[in-house]
Amino acid sequence: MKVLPTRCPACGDALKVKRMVCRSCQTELEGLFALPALARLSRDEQRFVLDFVKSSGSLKQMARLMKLSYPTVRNRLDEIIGRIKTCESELSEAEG
Amino acid sequence: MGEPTAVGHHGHKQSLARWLFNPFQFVAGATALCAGLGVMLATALLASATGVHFDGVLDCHFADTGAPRWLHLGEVIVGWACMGIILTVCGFLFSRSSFRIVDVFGTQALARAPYLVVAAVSLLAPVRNAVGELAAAAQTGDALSGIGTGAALLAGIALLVCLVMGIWMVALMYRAYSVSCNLKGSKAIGSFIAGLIAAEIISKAVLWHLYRVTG
Repeated sequence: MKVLPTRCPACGDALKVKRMVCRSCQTELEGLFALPALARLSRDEQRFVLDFVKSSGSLKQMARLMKLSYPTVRNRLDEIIGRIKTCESELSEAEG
Repeated sequence: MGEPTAVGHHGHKQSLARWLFNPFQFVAGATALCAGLGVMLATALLASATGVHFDGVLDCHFADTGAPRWLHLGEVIVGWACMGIILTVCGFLFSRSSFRIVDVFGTQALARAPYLVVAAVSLLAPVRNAVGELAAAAQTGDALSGIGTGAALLAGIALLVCLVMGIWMVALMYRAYSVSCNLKGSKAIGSFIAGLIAAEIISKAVLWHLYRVTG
């Protein structure tokens, strides 16, 4: 599977989905669909979020798994929270 | 249903440089606190054997042996506690993240490890003799010509080790503060310097009171 690009390689702005297709009946849908905030995160950030959810939201377990200290993992989570908030505000600006 | 796969994907390289200058990426909290308390106890024991006094957050002075062992331990603990308390206050004032007090105190305790090296170096008899000679010569106002070349060289090396370990300790203290309170950039540096100065002054005041009470 190719990696879903979330930023325009030319200007760096957030990309949107223009066309979608059904693999069963080949129906095509064209429009301008915004990517959800989570999809706009980098692969590493998405992986962190997935592992965090699978760890039942336990930072201690995440720290054990990542072999990092608790505050380092918590700081990483804070960074991702900041990124999600930025993405959400970009989304709401685009909608508004 | 699989276990989270964080190790494989997020694994951070644990290089020697990272362990030397930012070990708090890998160790913090209660583990760091236990290790740090062990380091401080060992430092105080060595210091009491050699007469080194860590009388303040950063201070390190060579003096005669004879002070009670608990006083050496008290000096180390006062320096650490003052730094921990002040940086916790700085964290509450400047950090937007929630942080754990055990991380601040634990990492600050472990950051004092370089002074264990200072205490160990002062354990070496030639170094102790050289520093003693230098101190005696300084008291007679004949510091430059009053001691032999060998002793002067050894005393110089000992002072250089103290200086390097002091710089390393401050670097570790800053990293500990930055990681445990999630602060970076000018806000972290400014608040750390202000906190360090405040902690140094407070520790000196507390120790002065301690010396006065205990005679």
